[in-house]
Amino acid sequence: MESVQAAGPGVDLRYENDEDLLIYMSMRADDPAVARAAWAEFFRRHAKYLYRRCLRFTKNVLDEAGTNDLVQETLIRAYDRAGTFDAAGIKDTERLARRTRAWLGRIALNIFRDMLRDRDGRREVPLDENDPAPEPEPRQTSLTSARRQLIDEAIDSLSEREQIVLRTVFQYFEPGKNLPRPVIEDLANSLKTTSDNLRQIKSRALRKMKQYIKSRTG
Amino acid sequence: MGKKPHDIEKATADEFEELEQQVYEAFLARGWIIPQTEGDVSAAEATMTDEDNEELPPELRDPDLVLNRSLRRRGRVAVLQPDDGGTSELLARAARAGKNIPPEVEDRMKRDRKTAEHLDDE
Repeated sequence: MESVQAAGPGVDLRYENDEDLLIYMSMRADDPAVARAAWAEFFRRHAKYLYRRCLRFTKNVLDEAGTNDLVQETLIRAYDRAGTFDAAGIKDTERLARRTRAWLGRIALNIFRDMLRDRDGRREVPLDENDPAPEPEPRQTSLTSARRQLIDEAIDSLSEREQIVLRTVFQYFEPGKNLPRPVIEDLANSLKTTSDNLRQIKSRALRKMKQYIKSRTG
Repeated sequence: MGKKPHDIEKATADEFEELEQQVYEAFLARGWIIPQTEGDVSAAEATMTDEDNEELPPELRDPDLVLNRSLRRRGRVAVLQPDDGGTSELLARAARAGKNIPPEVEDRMKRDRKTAEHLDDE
């Protein structure tokens, strides 16, 4: 890639796209100074976004130090595995940034699972973070603010157990695929139940929500 | 005439599909799901409000410190960061050769030295 060939120490990387930054990072053995500069720029672009997402995602699950570890380890793993990022031929800078953040999301989710496994003393079964979920058509939100409020109330009416099952199911959902077996096993273990029962909890939770909404809308 | 049974089943399945989609969007907006696709990153960014402006905690603000801390944990820090003796040697070598050190290199050396001192203080 031309821009990579042309780069050198002291080069301003602010105008490089994320794919090029990751390429510089992957070439750290050849040029540590440029790799370090690329890392700093990558960090500047994405660390705050990642922190804010992780803060919400880990609320009530990890403490402050745990969340900070998750963010740090995610960024470091991105540095370590920079060469595995697949830009899928995307050249548009903003779209590339979104793809990068989606990749960071998959890394964070994998590390989060490892952290829970460590905490619960279970063996590690990583999912492939380099195998992106199929990219659906960009979604237009179907929620009006009144409907959103109703959905929020219905979610709050569920038990914590039901919320956890729905969160996990939706987090790992891929059209036309079953949930990954390690995820089902993790969830069943942590809730001390069976995979069959998880399906029932999910169905019951959705029915409860539907009834709640019906009772409010008539 | 009422709906046929399979029409009712289909209508119910569609309703659940719509509900699942709405619950998914609500989870995404709450931050309960980590966005893993470009579309979800877009949607999540669109739902971020002025209240979603948490600053990074102090230990995550400096990319060099984050990288060094992580590499040091794995015992690799020496690869990226010369110790103070190494920096002095580089400076001395440059002085012996009678060459000026480029300002950006000097700045980086100073910064690395400061970072090393800071790490030692942790």
